[in-house]
Amino acid sequence: MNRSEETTAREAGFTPRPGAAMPADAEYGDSAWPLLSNVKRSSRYAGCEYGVLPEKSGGGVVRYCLAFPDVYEIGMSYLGFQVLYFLLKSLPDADADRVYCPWTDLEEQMRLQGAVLSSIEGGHPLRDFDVVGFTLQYELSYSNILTMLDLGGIPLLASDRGDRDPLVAAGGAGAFAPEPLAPFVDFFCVGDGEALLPPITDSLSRSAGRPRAERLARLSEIRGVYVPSMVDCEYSPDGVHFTPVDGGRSLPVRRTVVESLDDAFMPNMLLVPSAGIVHDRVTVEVFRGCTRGCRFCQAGMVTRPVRERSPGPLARNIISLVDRTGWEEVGLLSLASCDYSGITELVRTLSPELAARNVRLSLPSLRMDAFSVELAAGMEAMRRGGITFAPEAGTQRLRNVINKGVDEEDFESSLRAAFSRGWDRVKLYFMMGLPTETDADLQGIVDLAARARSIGREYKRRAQVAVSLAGFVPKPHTPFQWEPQLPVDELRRRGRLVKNALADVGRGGVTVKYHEPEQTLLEGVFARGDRRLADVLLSAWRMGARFDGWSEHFSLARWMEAFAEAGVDPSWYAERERPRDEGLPWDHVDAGVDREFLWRERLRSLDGALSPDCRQGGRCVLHGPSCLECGACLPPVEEGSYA
Amino acid sequence: MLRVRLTYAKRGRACFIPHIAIPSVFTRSGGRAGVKFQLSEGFSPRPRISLGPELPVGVPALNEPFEVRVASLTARDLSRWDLALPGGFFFTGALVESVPGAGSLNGQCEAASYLLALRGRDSTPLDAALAEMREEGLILHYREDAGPCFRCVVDNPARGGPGLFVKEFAKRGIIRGWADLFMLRESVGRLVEQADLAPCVIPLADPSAHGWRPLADGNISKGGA
Repeated sequence: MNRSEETTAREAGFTPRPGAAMPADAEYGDSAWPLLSNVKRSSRYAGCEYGVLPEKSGGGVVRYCLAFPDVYEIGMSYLGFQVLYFLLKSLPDADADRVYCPWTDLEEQMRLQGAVLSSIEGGHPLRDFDVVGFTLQYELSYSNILTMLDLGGIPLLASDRGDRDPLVAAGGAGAFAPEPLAPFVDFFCVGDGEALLPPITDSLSRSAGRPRAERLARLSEIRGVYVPSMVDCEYSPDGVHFTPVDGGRSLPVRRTVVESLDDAFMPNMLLVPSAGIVHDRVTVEVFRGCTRGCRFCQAGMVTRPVRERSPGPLARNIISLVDRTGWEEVGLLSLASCDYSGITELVRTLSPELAARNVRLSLPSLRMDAFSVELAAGMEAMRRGGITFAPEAGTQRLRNVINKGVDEEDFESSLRAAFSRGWDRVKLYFMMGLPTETDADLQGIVDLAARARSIGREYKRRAQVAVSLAGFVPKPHTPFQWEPQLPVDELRRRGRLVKNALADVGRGGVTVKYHEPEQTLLEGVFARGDRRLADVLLSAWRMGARFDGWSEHFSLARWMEAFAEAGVDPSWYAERERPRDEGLPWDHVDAGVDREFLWRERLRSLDGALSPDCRQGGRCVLHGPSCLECGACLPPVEEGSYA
Repeated sequence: MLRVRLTYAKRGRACFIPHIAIPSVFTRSGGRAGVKFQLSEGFSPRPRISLGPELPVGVPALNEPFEVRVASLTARDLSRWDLALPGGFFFTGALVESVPGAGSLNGQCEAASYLLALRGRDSTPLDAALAEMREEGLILHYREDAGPCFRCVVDNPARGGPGLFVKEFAKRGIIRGWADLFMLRESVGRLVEQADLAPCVIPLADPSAHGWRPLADGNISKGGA
């Protein structure tokens, strides 16, 4: 400390902490500095977060590294890791650290210098953890998993790992159709992490020091844990068939869910980054699951049943998180926050508390109705940007096919509400290539966009409508899991058709963006892929596949070369209609919803029949009047409590 | 409302947190510590914070200045705020405006002092380069220090920031780029030049600053402790 600092401290009664004046050797000797000074956005790797808990010392602790296969600013926006981090820290026999995928510039530097990928808090190489746990949120991030394993000093293939190597785990949405990653992952976690991690930790703690195979065998006894090395798969003309190895546990692997979110672990603190991230705010999950029954939506199927948090305790938790984190915004997360039965009460309770703290409230997902718009209109954070609606399809016929309960009246009233409440920019999200779609449905998108602009101009001279078009990818565990996906050329034709038609009507008022159909193809292949795709993934990664979800890095040519090398036809996975009885590569994973229910829904979709939302009073009611017997219901609960 | 001038250190990996992110580092930590900020007017009110000259990513610092308007702030509050900072950030000093309108922050950032060394090798080649830079009027003063490293004073830190050293050393073939040079900004503030003495830079939270007074220990409000 220099003279003037000492004077200031003495006279003011404030003493700087010793770290402020540590010797410059700390920075001069930091071996990571030359690496980080040569890469873009080095703040991604800096750490410097608030809320980090100290590392636990001593033996007998299962050390997890939560691994997000994308960059920091995306991974830090993921609520799941915030919850799991604090959950693991709360367990006496577990500890947690995190790691994110280094961008290609840092990967290159690390390889040049022989650096090992290490955790962000403790700086421990990945190979030194007991468990490295990936979350599978997006198929196009799978190549990054291999990058992280390789840079972390962990053999890529589970079969090449020894007793001293970490166990590689994976959870999240991708664990419901895990086969393309099966050879790389020691065990998958199927279901809610809050319910899975305590028994997994207990098992690993008890089996510490035992051979790897024995530890995995013990893990496989836990409901929701899938150990691919203990399951064989055979391929035949009628599909994939799974059998347990050596009399292992019976199939299917059933997911594990928390029955009550009120009773589930909820952190009372969140990690606060110092540099900007994508969703830079307090995020809390208001409910889990969705029973609206959109037939394309995997999340809506595999997270059933609906489980809500009680508004009172939730509001108290949110205020506490705001005070503890200092964040300026709160986001209420769920598949459709406006469906939360306690939304009015929650917003009413929160609004004055948050206003007093100059904290904004936002809803990441809005239902297409006037109520949702009115609710959003009261939120400054929502008013600042545009407002997004997802009609998903351009005609009523096709919206009925996908069971999207939005009609023309909803469309009109939401847009009028939005423009009349001050928004001048509306974003409309659509999918192309939905089952039974024709060019007339695409024209419907054009008509809706033109109608939206016309409504907007009644209120605002400069009203803007932004149309976003994404190619439809049929997902496992949905009624469309048997459907073919459109080929790249046809997706491109349809995208251009809409784009050209909108250009004719646009005249500055309507813009359109559509996702690259090549990426859609790859997403579709891996979404419904089997174990044979692992060779393709490995081959593509060796050829340089990285960050495939980022268009600047994606190369379909590279992937096609990898498919050819492995002798795999991608169109067989993506563009083929599956017969009803075909063995599907995710049949050994029970996601809660019955396959028969999914088939019934598929047939109803082809008839254009709508299926009702089965929840009542904010929860699923087993065998209630609207029950479709999807199979995911929990037992009935007492009146007045939240399941 | 009080106008408070603070200095902070940015150490370790915190040097990679960009200048643009610094306001939210302080407002969020202040929120956690219960600091009541004065908000700007307008549609999206924000705490009123002014930063000193930009510090490039990768350069640690000991005494970077910033100003903020708050309802009150005692030494005890500042200690609490200090503990609410993320890893690598520390407060090093604080003053409260005692004469209204006492000098603007950037107007008082007259000079900056740096420690310079070559990474992974002897820093002697910097000696001749710094001598030339002094001759050319790019820097005010330098001297060799323990380490060995060089301590260097630059006037007008907004113009002669760390990029100047990288550019000049690279031009002379001493380094290839940022990765080869270690820089630490010791202080930004008032330039003091006295006969027979090397010029030095006094951090802006130094209590000798005219028109400013130290934080009180107890409750304070505008007008006195």
